[in-house]
Amino acid sequence: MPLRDPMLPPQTLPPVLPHRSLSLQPDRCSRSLFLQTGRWLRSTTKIALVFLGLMGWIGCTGTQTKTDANAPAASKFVAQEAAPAPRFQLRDLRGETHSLDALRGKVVLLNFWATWCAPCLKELPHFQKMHEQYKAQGLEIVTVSVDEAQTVAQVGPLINRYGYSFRVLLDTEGRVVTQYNPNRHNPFSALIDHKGNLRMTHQGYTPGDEIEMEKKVKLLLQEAAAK
Amino acid sequence: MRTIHLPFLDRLHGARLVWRVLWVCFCAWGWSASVWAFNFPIKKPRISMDINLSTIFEYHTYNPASQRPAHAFNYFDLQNRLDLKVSVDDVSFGGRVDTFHFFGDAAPCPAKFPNCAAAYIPEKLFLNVRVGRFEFTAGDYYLTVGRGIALAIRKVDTFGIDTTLRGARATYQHDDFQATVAGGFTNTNNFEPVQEIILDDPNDFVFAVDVEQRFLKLFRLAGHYVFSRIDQRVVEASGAEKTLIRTTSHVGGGRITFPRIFDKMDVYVEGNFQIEDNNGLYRDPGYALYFNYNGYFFPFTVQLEAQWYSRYRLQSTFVQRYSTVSTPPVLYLNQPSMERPDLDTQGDNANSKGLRLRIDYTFLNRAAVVHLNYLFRYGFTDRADAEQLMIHHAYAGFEYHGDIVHLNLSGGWRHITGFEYWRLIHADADISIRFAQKHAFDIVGRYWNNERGESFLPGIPIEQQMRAFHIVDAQVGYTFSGIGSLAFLFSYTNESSDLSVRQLYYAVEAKILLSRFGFLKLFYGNVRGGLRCVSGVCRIFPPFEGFRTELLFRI
Repeated sequence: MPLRDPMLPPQTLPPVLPHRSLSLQPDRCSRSLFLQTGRWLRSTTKIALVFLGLMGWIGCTGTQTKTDANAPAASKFVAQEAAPAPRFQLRDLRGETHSLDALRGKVVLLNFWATWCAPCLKELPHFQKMHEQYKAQGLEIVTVSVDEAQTVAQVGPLINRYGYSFRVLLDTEGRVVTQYNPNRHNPFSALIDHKGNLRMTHQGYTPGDEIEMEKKVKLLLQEAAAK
Repeated sequence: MRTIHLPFLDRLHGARLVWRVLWVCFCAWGWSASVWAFNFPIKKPRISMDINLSTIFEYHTYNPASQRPAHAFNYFDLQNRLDLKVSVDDVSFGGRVDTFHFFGDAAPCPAKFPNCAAAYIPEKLFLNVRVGRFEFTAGDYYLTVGRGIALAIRKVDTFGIDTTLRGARATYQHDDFQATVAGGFTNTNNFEPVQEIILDDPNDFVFAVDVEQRFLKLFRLAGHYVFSRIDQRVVEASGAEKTLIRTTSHVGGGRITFPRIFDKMDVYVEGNFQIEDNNGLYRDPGYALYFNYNGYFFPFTVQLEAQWYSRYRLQSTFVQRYSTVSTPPVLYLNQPSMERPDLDTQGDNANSKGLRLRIDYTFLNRAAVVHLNYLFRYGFTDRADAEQLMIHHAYAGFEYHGDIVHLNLSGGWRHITGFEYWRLIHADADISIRFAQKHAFDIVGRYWNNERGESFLPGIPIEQQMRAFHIVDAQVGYTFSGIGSLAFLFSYTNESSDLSVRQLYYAVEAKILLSRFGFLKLFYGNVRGGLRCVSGVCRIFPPFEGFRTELLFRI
């Protein structure tokens, strides 16, 4: 079976049918157990109680698993094919600390770039446009400068002269970029959904890449809005 | 139905009651566990795995002895790098393994590396754990203190050098306070991709403490201490290693940062004081001062950097190389030199003093920028004043980022005098034109007009040893977003005084994108070698002739 593109909208995925043997609902499950535990004095029911207690525990734990399966298809899909995005904390140009955890609930476009990287500088204006267009819908653009100590002084002036208003974080030591992109080829983008799952990565930039990126951002925003 | 009977309980007082209570507890446990399992599910661990595979296959059709002397005239090589990382919640671990294989390479291996034709080398191994406000790392990690004047253990992509500190690091971060303690031995990738040889690990010891506190949300104050012990080792006839020279260095320093004062400026000041012991002999203390000011006065942006180093010695490895090829040392610093990265040619900054000023003017609704730059540096070595280097570098540029066109043009003049001479006139262009939604042409060009004192014959003034040469690089490419690119590369240089060396170079390169999994790059032709400098470390790259494929695969 071919791999499915994780960026496909959830509507296009086939429905997941519940398994009959694990279709107990939690209310029925607990009530049934309660009624049966009320007759605990009857020795003939003791074995049944043990059995039901055990199966109840297993069954309801199983129901939890199946609850995931009954959830909208996209959730299951994410659980299978999307990986949790590595967590991080970095400072911005003002010295404020930002963490990925604080952005949970938003769609995050994470981009690694450097002042000496020509394709990166061609890509940043497109991020600014996306930032202006989709911020209200829950898109958070976080750019991480991987400029090292020697060139990090140039990050602030570059951001200021072009008037970029998205978040700019500094990863001078390369702690975060190596988590996302060990090869450290720039630019590198990662798209993280509202649940904190990494849904797409993209390396390099050529004109037109931003069109596909925008499509995928829209899909994730729709997905987030549907929750 | 038989009831379950446990005879030993009958022997106890009230055994039957106990038996019933146990049943109740068991059933209640079963019931409550069910509820607990449903309403408060066991938190599933967030597990992810990341695999990066980089494979290079090359055929060198021309390799004279002066280029890669460790190899045959014609040879194949296969290089592979595997990065693996697994994360389980706040714990991550992984590593890197390099493998290489040379085919048709009859060059003998040195005694120290009998497997120089084919080997796999575990390069990195790390375990990272985050516990609340603490982060612990064991194994390999990068480390930079401040602006890299005191310490920077890092990767230098241009040279294929990837240095880490192998040891342990602990970081504590809470609100505006951060502290880091780290120590370990330096570890460099053993396969050196430029000369394609095996190198030793430096195994120099480094220890660092860094503490930083932010005050009143206005400024940050930090202090640091770095200890390094660097050994220059020799291999004796018996094959045993012996430490020849041991240099220990103590660097203490502080820094203060004022970010965005009234939204108009940033100020950064760093000072370092160094005491060095060279084989038991203390040298005069050295110091390094660095200042950075950024001013934001739209449409103008002003950047000023200044440095004042005195007897401040850069720490670098003396790692023993097996080949006769001179490979650059691994610097443990990454200090701001204020230079353009590709023109940072002076690594010896022990007594360097200077400043850089850049002024930008933004217009066309922030789409276009004109910038002017001027750099002045003086000093560098312990030589007499008359022989000290003096660098003037002035250049200007224009950048434009529009929907159809991206332009980056620059040009300037650079002049170095002192114990060496170099006059450079340079012009660079990077033009990208989009002619359809996903289609674009790229044109990249560079012209360097050089006049340089090439050799230093005793008794003959440098002015009489001048040599003029030109370097031209051009690249014309077509890109199709999401599919790949095709580029033609052309170079000309008469840098080498050896007339038998090729002067014209041309090649073709295709890059095919493999969806989200990576790319495949194919190269055929030849590219020029020459001097490349990064962060004051320069080395002469050998030219390449043949074909090359590079596969980057990510899962």
